[in-house]
Amino acid sequence: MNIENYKKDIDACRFCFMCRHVCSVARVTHEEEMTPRVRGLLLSMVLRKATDYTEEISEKIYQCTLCKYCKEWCEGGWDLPSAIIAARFDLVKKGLVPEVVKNVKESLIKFDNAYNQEGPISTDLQEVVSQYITPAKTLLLFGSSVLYLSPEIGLSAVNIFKKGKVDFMVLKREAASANELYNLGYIKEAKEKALTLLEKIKTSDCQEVVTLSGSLYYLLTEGITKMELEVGNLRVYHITGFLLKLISEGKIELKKTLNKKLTYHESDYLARYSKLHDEPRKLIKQIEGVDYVELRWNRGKARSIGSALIKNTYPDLATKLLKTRLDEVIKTGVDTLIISSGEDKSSFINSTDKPSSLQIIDIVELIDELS
Amino acid sequence: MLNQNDEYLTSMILSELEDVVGENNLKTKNVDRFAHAVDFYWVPRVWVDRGKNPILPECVVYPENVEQVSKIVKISNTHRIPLTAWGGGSGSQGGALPIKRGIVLDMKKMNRVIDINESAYTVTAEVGIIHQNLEWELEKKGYSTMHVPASISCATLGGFLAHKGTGVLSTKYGKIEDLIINMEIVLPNGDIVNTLQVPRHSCGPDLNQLFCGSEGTLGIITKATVKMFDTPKYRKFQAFMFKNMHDALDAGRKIMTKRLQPSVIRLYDEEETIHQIERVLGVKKNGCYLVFGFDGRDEEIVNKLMESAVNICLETSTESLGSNFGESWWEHRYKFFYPPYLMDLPEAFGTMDTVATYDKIEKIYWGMKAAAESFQGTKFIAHFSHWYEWGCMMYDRFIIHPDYVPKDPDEAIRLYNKVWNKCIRVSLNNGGLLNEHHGVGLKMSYLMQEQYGPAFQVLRKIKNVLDPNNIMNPGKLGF
Repeated sequence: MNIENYKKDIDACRFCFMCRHVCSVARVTHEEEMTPRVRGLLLSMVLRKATDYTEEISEKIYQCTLCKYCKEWCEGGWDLPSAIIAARFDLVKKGLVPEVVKNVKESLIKFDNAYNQEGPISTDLQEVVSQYITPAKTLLLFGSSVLYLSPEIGLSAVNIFKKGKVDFMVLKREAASANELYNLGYIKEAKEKALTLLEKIKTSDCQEVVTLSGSLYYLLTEGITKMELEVGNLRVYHITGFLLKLISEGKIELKKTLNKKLTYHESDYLARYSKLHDEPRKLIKQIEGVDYVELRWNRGKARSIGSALIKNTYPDLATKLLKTRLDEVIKTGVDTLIISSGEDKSSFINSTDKPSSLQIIDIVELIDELS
Repeated sequence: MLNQNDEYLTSMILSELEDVVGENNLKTKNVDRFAHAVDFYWVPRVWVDRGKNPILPECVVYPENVEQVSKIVKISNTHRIPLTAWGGGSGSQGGALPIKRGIVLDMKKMNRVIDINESAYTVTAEVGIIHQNLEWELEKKGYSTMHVPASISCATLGGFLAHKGTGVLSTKYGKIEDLIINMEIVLPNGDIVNTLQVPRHSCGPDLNQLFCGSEGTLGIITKATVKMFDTPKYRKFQAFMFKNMHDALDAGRKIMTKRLQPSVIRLYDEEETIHQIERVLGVKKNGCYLVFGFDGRDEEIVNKLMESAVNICLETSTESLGSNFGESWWEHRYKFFYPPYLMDLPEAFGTMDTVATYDKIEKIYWGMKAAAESFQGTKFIAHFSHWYEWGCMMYDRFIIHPDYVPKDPDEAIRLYNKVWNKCIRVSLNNGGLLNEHHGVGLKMSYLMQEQYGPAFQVLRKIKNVLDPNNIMNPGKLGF
């Protein structure tokens, strides 16, 4: 069993109560069975062969958002999220995956997104894709949430690159779902997707990759090693880091001021997977006139609104997570919420609890507007 | 409630419960019941560690308001179903374990902060709130209940009230029972009652102190108003080493009897200084580690009180460690409770806290230490963490090396209880009590009669009147 590799973490977590108040799912459900220690306890019983994996256990394991808040909070250094992924590998092997998860898996494999969408929704973006497929120095990866949910972010990135005269290209089709498949426990399929992406990157002959997606950034900088693959000497940027570089090199200039009170929400990938906290904030600091307010729960402790996976498997959980984070944003009194994720932008914009006065904008769109 | 002959009756009862709380708040799946069968008590932990299944409740319900609690209690009474309240499940005495199966009433969905009264300096909340969340709400306005134990991240306000919990700052701000203003309780017959509006009066016995510490055996606490305080502007620490327990205890006693009112004093015996302090803080010293702190909003007063306490310590200490170690201890005070800093299986360990007057506590310490260490492979560590003008509390633990813990869980539990019985009776026989702030629960239920002697009949009769069907957390607190 894969969870045997994480026996120490499982045994450490099974009786410990120290992170239950910050676990994303336990925090919004208030249910004992949704706490990290119960997941640890269940896996410890499987390890001890007191029970085999069951459908009930499987459901609990897949109801974890893998936001990694528990790991971030833990002062003992334990890694329950990795144990949960290991358990998912086991569950996939045993064919004990909940139906809702299987559906998302099919979508990831067929369409490279969790939304069951066959093609990108934006014709403008499709046009861009067809124009910029010639090999270039910089490869821009949109990520599935931009392609399928928030194409305006992709268009803004292209605009900025044009302004900055960046020699760039895009892929006709991205193969962007390796991380998601891995997190669902489909290691074989995840590896295939990752290999496909790496092959496309290699064929593009680019020297650097810039991605709008926190998930792809994590995959190419760290996640890929867990699949026993590597990107070689390729330089990988998250878009926020690349935009800072363009500004520092004088290739783009922020010409306009913005007299707004705003705050920034970071996705799980930026908050806790890659811990990319400073670049987005440095970018915001470049903007003249803003009144920046930090959310109470920020950086590594930024509260999760769930990933594409939880939104498409257990949407009720995702709705609850979104509401609590939105409440936190509203309490700051800001008129603008900045995010750096197509997924999160879509979630906030489509929330029925969002006040009409609150503007939601991706940082790339903002830089495009002001440059 | 459940046996094979009762199948349809079980369905009828579950339907009644579902009618009260709704489908989403009634849990009957194995994993949900299992989640409520293991708390922080060593016994169910060793049980599951050995691959055995713990005692499961028949179902779990999550009420969302006091009316639902009342209805559930009435259903339990009608059908004579044991009812166990569950807050954070972080108790170390087995108080929340559903040992007679029945219904577990998980209070965590009753978690609203209802009122922060900035005139009276009180806060009212539903007791299912995880206490850290309550503290974070108060922190926004610059307040705190000052009830901040390590279990703050998992325990609920109700759990603290039910077993008379305490926090790191109790020496100055009091235990939970000192913080209560009033409470709302659902009695075993389902009636919803409130204690009087304020706790100090001359209107008969204090009902707060009847239900606080009753561990769910006399009723379900659903709402409470407790004191809050301004967050102190200044908090300062000092730490000292003493060559022996006697000198260190005496220094602590003098600090308290001189009414200097430190917010915290913590004295670690030699074993625990090595076991815990060295591991967490890197203090490699022989002797006993004493740390204390003063807090307040006036720096001059804080400094003056600190100076007096320091002077007391300087009389007999071997080394002043200054403020850094004290501040480091404060900063890392919760780190002790994360694995691997906390004791864990495969060791057998028990927290045997007791409390006594100053003239008795040292003898109890040495007696319990000798009793514990008379068992092979057993170590005894202790710290004194909650101090009063008349005495102090000893937070002592025995730890049995894994090599001496039987693999068979039944044998392991019997050895565990043997150590416990021998040690705790040393305390009882020398003027100490069964427990100071973790509660009695299942662990020491059978010793309550022995501790109280003839006075136990008072508690027994109250229990018989309030809960004649013995549905409320049966098997706990001596009932």
